[in-house]
Amino acid sequence: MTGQRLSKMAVCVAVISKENYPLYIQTIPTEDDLKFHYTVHTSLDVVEEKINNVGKTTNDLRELYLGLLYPTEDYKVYGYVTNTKIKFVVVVESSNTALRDNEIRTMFRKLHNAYTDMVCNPFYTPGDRITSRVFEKVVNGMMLQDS
Amino acid sequence: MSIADYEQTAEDHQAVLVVVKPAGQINAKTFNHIFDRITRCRHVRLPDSQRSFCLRYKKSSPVENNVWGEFQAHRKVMGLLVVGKCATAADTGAIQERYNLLKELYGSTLYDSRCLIFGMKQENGTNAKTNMVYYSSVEDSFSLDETVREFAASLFWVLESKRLQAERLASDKSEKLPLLLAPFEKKDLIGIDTETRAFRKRCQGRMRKYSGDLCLLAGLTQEALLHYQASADILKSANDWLWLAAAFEGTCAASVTVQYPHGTTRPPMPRNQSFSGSPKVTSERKLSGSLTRAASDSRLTSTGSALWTAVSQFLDVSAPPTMSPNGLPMATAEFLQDGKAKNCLSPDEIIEKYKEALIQYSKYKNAAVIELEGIIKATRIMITQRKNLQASEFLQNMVYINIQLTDEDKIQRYNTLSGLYEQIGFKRKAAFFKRVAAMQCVSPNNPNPAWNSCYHLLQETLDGYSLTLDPRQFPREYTYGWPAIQLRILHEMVYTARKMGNPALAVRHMSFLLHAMSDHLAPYERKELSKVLESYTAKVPGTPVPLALESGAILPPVPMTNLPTVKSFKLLDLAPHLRPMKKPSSQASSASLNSPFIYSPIQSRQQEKKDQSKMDFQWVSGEVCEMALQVINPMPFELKVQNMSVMSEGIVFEPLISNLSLPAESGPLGVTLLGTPKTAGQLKLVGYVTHVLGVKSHCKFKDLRQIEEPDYSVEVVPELPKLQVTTSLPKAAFGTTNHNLGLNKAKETAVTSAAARLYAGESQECVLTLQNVSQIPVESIDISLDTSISSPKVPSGFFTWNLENTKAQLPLQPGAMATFTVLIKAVGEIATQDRKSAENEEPSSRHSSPKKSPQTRPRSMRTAAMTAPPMEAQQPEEEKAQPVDAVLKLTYSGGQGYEEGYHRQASIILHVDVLQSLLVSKVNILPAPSPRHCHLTLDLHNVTRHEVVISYPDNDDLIIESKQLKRIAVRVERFSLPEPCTSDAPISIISPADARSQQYSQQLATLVDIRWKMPSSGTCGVVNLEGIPMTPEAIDLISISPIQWDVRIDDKHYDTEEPVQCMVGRPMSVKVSVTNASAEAVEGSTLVVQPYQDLWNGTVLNNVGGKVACVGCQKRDVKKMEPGESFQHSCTFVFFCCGDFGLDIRATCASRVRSQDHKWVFTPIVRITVQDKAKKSP
Repeated sequence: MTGQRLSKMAVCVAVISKENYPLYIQTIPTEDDLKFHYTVHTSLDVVEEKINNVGKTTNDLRELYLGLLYPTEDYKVYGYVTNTKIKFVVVVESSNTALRDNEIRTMFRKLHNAYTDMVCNPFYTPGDRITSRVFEKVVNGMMLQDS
Repeated sequence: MSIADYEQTAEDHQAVLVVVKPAGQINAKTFNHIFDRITRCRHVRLPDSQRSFCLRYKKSSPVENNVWGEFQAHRKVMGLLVVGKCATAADTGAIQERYNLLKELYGSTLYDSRCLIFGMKQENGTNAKTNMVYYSSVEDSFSLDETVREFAASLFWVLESKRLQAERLASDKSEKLPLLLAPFEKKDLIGIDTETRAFRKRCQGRMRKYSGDLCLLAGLTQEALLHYQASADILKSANDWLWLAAAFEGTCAASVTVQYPHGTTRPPMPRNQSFSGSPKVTSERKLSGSLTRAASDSRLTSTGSALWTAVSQFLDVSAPPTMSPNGLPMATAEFLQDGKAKNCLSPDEIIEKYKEALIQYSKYKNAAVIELEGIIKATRIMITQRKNLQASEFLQNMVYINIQLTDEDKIQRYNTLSGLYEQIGFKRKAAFFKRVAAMQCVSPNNPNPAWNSCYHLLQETLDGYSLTLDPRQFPREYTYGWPAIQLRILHEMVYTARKMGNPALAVRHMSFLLHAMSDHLAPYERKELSKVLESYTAKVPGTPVPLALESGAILPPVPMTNLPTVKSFKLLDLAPHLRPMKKPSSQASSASLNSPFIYSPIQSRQQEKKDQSKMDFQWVSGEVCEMALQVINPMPFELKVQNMSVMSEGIVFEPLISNLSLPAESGPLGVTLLGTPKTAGQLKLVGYVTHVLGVKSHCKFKDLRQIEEPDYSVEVVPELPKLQVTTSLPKAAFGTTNHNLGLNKAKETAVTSAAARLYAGESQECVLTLQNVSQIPVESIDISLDTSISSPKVPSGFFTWNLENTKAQLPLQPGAMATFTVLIKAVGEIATQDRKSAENEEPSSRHSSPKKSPQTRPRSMRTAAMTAPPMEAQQPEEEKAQPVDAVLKLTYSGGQGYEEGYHRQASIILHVDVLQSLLVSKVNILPAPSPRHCHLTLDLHNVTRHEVVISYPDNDDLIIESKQLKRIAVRVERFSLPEPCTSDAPISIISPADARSQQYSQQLATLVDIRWKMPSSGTCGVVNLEGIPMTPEAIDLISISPIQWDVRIDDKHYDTEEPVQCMVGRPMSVKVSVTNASAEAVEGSTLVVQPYQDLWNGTVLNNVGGKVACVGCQKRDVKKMEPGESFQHSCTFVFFCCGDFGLDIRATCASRVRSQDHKWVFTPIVRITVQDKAKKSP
């Protein structure tokens, strides 16, 4: 990976279960990772609202990508919901203008694929915390590296 | 800078602000009461017209906000009400003083005011000049509402006049207008050219906007909308952005009042579509007055400002302050409804306009408060519209508005934000801001941290974080909510509770933290938190009772059900010998049969269900009972569980307290809890009590998901005594090779055992000592023997006892002892080979001599000896013991339990190894020379290793060496037994012949007394003859013949075996006399005299036709012979050749019992030696 590519990456990636508890959350090394917990947690409000609204208005195939959930001063929070109501949330820095919607979509697609691969493991019980190393590798690939 | 009003809504734009202030000595409660009464008058419909307007009451309004009154008219304090209470006239003065002061304070904007004084007699009614209103008391103030209405009306008319004045100013283009200013604009005004066109426009636009505000306040929404629109057009061209924004906001507010007549604080009602119908329909509904209709119609159809001006002019003339009853009001009322379709904004437009307004506001740093309030108002509208996402976008911006605020204000701001988020359903966001507010309460900069309110706010966040403090509602089996954040909140609550000085609360939260969140804690965290909890509880112990907070909330107790985790709970039955038993009464059995169905699957399923919680055994009161638990310590340190015991309901139960120490991360470990039921009845166990880390917990089974049943109940029966049993014999050592299932089961339940090793025929006593070790006298004792566990059946008479002596000692007092003796008689097995060989030999002999000559018997014995397999081959292994096991069941009872029919059973295992001593291998019964006796010959085989001395009657002692086989003959007196009656045992499976055989062998055993003695060991015993197989022939031999014979040959009495000499060709007369000696009549018998020739080589010739001639009958039938009766038969034989002949004289009789005929043979055998004449001489 090149240095230029690194700057395009997320600062926090979270996988949230159908029942809205975290299955996996990975943040860039920081002293206050609870901050990201709060950010992701509150973003669920928007996710829920978006899912509910879609359900009301159209019966078409739902767009999995939810787009920007909300911007904060420093970060932008993007959401993605699978058909099984597993939520992916990616937090990127607001200053990171290189990241456009398309890149975010690619990121989510990669994440979804990794999740699908992980769920295919017969030893994984849906609803358990994700401990798969392969999955972690994929997520780490999306994260902003300090180096 | 003014202070933001976080409660504002868009409707407030149309309400006249009235401040209500207390004065004098009035307590808060009374004031609030009066305030509530005043505020009931919110919506005022004017008495003489159809106009109506709204009032808004506030208890305080900062004067700083008043200066914004020009910018937005609803911010002005227009009315003032002072509520005072006084006792004396001096008080009145004070109140009046304050009233005047307040009037002065708000003076610049005040339209009207009143001073309401309670507690004074009305001096001279309402003083119109001073605006003082007097009431004698709070209760006696019925006219208060009237006063307020009147005050409102007065306000309205002032407002109305101001509105008209402003409208006139705004519409009059010629006049020079004053420039209305927002408070911070004053300094900008310096040096501005007031003569420019732009400035004029600005003045005009602002005035137009102001009259819009007043119209809105006065209830003329439609006019307000038009004013706002016009002003917006003017202001836009004048680049007056701030006021443009205000005009937009005004438009929105007016539209809101139209769109949502029920307000934005409540969810919207479904809109009635009929109101927005065509003008024609609505015009038809108009009441009267062509003028009115024309005015309203023109309004509805025209949107242009030119037309509007005309209409407004018309309005000005037609609406004098006194207001005509059929003029404007009607039109306005219609207007409010029909206008929806026209000038007012649609719900979406409202939001768009608000957004625009807010963008404009945000350009002015000084208008931050206005912007803030605008956001709040817009959000409230969107809540009504259920545009949650858009609302969240608005709220998102609210955080960024930079206002210099006090801490208190910040808290309020976050709190409001949280409340708004809550309303749009963003409970997580709401919780987040609640928490921020809570943290603000105790920010490090705050010199007086408000821990209480911080705690209170934190408590409100719990819902948003899916956290509940009730452990019963908090699911532990799956993750619920966001553990990392929940942990943080709980930590904060613990800390806050401690800072609040409420250690009990801190303990409660900490135990909840440990209890509910332990799955999400790292081991080191668990360890640390446990230590913290212990340090807390060292001061204030954790209690199992609900904790009431000052706020009124109740914190349920937190039972530490996972410290340790109880995996299973089981009640244990008492030890087998302590179990209470009850004889199944006939009532009980009938009760179980009260269903007409023999089997019903429904019933059985119900029973199965029941079985889970109800024990199928009973406990005894006063007896220590056991409960088995399996516990797991999930903690990474040694867990000390103190005072662990069970919780019970129902009868008195005394649990025994136990202290456990569980190693780190261990389990499941088995733990036994003890307890003693004190009374009889139904005992229900509902949970257990622990004391862990200083927290006392009451863990109920119904809250434990790993325990299936919510409670366990067991019946406790009244007290019963306890006996300790010891035997004089050594305890039995059971080998592991024993595969007897019954015995294994008995072993587990037996209290003691006794073992003996006896030679067959030997006997021994076993003394049982019973000691009453309980406090209850034993009142009944009974003993029974259960031999079912022994694989070969235990012969009857093996164990015998006499209980009478023991029973005489009853009742057995506590501590007393009683003994009784069991006599063990070892009975050996009868060698069965004999029977087999006997059966073998039978056909051969029968074949050779179907007539059964008397000579066959000794011969057949010989053949038997030859055909039977050698004795040694079948010999059992030497000294091989035959085990005999039996369970002696000692049933006893006493005390109250006895009265209720309960008893206890102690079982004692008796184990006897029976060694073979002397084997009776062959038994034969031979006829004795005397007809009254017969001989019993026995082959006795000494299978012991010792020499055995046999002693039997009529003989000297006989010594049988080890392994030696010796035959002894015993003379036995013949006996006769009555034939077993057939009706006696109709269902007996034993055939009558077998029964008879048994009967005879038993009798024989009693008659023959053969004793043995082992000189080497000194043991002695008897030879058991019971069970000797008896063939029917043997029985005929042994039983006394019912027929007495008297045989005379040539008139000579024949009673020896001496052969009778006879000559060839000479007749020989035979006279047979038969007498019935028995007590019964013999029926249908046949007497036969049959000659035969004995060749002395083992064969007899029965066919002697050519050798013997018979004169007379050889056979004679006798119909019936009464007892004592006799009859004679005689015949004569002539022998034609020499040789040894014999006569077989026998009587046969059809037996009633046996299928075979009875045969009685005359003994001794008649032998005849026939000689030739020639040979006779030598």
